[in-house]
Amino acid sequence: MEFLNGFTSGLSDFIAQNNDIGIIYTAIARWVFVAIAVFVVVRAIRSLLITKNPSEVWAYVQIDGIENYPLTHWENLIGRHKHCDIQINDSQVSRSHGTLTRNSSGKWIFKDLNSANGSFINGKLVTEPKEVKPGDTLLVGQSKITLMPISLEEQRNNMEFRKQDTKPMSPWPSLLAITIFQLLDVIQLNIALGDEFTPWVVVAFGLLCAVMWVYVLFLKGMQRRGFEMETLAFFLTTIGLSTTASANPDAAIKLAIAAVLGIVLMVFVCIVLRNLQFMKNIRKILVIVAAGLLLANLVFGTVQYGAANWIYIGGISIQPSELVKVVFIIIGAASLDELFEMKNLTLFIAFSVICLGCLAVMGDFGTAAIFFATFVVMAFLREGDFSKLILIVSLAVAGGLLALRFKEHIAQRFGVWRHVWEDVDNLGYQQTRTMSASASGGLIGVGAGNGWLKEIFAADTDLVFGMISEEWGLIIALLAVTAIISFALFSVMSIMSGRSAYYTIAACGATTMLVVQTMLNVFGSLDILPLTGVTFPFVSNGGTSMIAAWGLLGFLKAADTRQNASIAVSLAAKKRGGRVDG
Amino acid sequence: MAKIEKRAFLCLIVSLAFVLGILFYIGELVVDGDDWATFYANQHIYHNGQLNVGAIYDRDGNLLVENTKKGPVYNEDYENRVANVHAVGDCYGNVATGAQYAFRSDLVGYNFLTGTYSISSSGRSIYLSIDSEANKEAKRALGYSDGLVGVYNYKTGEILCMVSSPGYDPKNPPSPDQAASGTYINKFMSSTITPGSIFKLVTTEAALEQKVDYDSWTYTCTGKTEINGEIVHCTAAHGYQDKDAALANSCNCAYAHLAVDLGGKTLRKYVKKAGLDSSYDVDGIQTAKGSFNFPSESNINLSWAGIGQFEDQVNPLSYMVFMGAIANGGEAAMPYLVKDIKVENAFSIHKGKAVMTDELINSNTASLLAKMMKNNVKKTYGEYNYPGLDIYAKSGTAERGDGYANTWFTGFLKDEEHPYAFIVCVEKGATGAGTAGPIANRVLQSLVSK
Repeated sequence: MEFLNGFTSGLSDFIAQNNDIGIIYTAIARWVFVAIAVFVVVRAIRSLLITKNPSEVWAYVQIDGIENYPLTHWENLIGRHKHCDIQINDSQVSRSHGTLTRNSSGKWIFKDLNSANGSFINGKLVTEPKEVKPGDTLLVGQSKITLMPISLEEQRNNMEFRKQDTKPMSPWPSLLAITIFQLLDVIQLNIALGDEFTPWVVVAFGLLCAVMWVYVLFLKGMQRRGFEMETLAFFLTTIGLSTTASANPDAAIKLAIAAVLGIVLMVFVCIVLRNLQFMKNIRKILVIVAAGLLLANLVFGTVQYGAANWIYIGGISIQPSELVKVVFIIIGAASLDELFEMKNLTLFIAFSVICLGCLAVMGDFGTAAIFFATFVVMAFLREGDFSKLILIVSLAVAGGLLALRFKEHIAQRFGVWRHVWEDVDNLGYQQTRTMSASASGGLIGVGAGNGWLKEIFAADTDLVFGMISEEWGLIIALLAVTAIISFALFSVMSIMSGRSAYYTIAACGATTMLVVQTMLNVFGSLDILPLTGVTFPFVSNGGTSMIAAWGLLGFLKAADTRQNASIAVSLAAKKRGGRVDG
Repeated sequence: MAKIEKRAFLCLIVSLAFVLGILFYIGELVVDGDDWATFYANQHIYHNGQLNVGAIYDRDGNLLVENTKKGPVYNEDYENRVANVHAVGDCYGNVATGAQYAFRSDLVGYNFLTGTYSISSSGRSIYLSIDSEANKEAKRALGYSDGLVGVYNYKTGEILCMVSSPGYDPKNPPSPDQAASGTYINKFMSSTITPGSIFKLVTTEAALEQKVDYDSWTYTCTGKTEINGEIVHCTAAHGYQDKDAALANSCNCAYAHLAVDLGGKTLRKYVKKAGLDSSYDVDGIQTAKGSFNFPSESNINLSWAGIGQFEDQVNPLSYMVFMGAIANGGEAAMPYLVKDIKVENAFSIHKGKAVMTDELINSNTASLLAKMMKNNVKKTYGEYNYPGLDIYAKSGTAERGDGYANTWFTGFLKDEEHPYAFIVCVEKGATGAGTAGPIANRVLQSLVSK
């Protein structure tokens, strides 16, 4: 620490004596930052979008000895309906007749979905889920289905084919670029902040940098590839660390620690997701824990700026609603079997009602909106019913309007919406300043630490898009938004080859949460939507928010089915499934 | 699984909404970014709500104001400050059309690409087309009277003189509730005033084109006349009048009948053609629009409207441009104020240049009308009152309705080196030629002698 102190104060002195050097450094570094940011983000997105997320063939089914269907998912719906994975034109077959699911130990389990005419394995009526072995005959209606494993040769060919298809970018150039970015950023902050600069800022950046390298080296050691999403998240976190250091230098280290905890949570989510059965088993416990957290928040919560969404534990303030986001995805996602179980949906709806109810009482309108949007998307993915969806949305809008009547500060924020320039020093205070600062930054920004928006309340949280625009410029601000949107594109692409409905619903839910939250943050601060005071994932200064954002990223990683890309699939499990990994 | 694949589009719709919102934001930023950036809370360029970058000079490079980190530094000369206050404005934005406020985005050097950033953070230097010494002369000539003086070069568009009175010292602006009425308005650009007899030029223009026997037309003025049972008065019984004499004497009775003969529709057409009911864009400042009401029935109100009374309201700048068009054969240069913008007070990045108006008056009619205006000077105002100036003019005395009159003097010089159109209005003056004329003379002499 003392060495650091000596180093940074030495640098500060040097810069103070050579003021022009600081100015020239900023003038040049601004362009370098933009160049690096474009390189990192474009490279990651390009790799995400052009590497295919190819389907894996897990087995074949033969129907009536004629048609061969490849099974490209772990979960397959058998029935007469045209959206079934194994569609059978047989009037004796129910629309959704049964499911054929591969479990994590590689066995194929058939479950009858209360079909009209029942199903038979080797002549025996199926009453409860039962394993189908290769060669067994599964009779649905009048159609015979035979399961055929893929041959060893085919497996090898598949593997080669997939490897050729799946060439994710090498992580090293991007990591190096981010590291240079961080180094230049620390120097820039030292120049701009002068006396306010503390060595802890250096420690914070150092910690993030170290964790980044350790994470990638460790996973590389485990022969994993595909780090695009993490690269984008590391980039966003770097920007977040910088805006936080600019507005609130002492808080940078906390945010860096939160990022480390978040990365741990992400890895944890991935590992837990390997075992779906375990995930399903702990659901009820999670519901109780999460509901307890929210209720504790209601009872012990501290009102801050109109919303009572904080609790203090031993001097550390946390926002329980942020952590509940991760649980919400776990509860909301469901495997194909569960989609046909009423009780599973009931649990999700009940949990959603608890979450929204608690948030409404707290007056945290923004977070409630995020949960609600996520609920709508997940419910639609599960049920696919538009009329229900419209009903839910209209009920929520009505409820939201009611809430407006009771919560004065929310009503005021809606009242000034699109009229902020008519009330610049009162209700439009934060938005007008965000817009002014954003415009001041131009495309390249005025340099990290050189902004003035940081002096406005909540600049590094609710208004952080303005801070990015002012200090880093519009290009980097748009790259940050693009990074978040690319997560959504990737989630949707991954569905096409998703192994289990659970992963894809979870990934879409998590991505919706991230996208909607970013939308509310960005548009709220720019008066395109009412200001609701939510955080920008990975960027805003907020420990719990940072942890939750990384946690949500875990669900996206789990849906990544590219060869060896996801830590949610253990290599050992693949081997057990009869595969040889190259 | 196949079912779920189809449903994932909802995720894409959410993302699409995000992208559309971002595009909307970028659109807003392109359109309104300069207003946002020049908001007084922007600490890159404001200190305690005062702009702290940029400088404004007159056409000769005389400093009018320089914004520094310690506040604005104005010209040292009190007279200069007061005379130029409506052109320059103050750091509080009291005069909305003042350069400090209206051109703040140029002073700051804002643009979409670089925002308000500049390495030296010194802003830009704006050189106005104004001659601050001529403004001083105009202010002196106005003395304690309220009113306005405007002169511009109708070939290049440069506004040379622009004074509005009452003025004030921008160093110590009076509080808005204590300031005399009209203090914070640039009357030349932002007001509309009853024109009185100077409007007869428009009626004459219409008659020259629409009245077949106008050349041989005569009228005998007895000092008053009756229009539909109501009386129109003249200042004197002008006696036998032809078209030139009627204009030179500004005979109300003659014009009352002319207006009725021409009809409201015709007068409205000529007002529109002259651009008197539309607004000019002076480097982004929108001037006030004149307004007129020409009744369609032939009645006393139509007569008064043709004389420049009734509900006629004219914007001084637009009338001055009309004078320029008469001088210049039908079209005149659009007026502008920003002559030059310099970065680091060295590299020019914008030069004001001449952009012509549409045809405001037919060129034949313009030369006929110019002849009549010259006749006014010869017969009524006296060429000896304007020594050395090839001046063409029309005076006016407009009743205000409060017992006072606004006195006008407007016209142009036909002088290759000094192609200037001018307008002077003195509120509560005696007569146009007597009160406003000498002021016009002093200002023009000062400009021409340069």
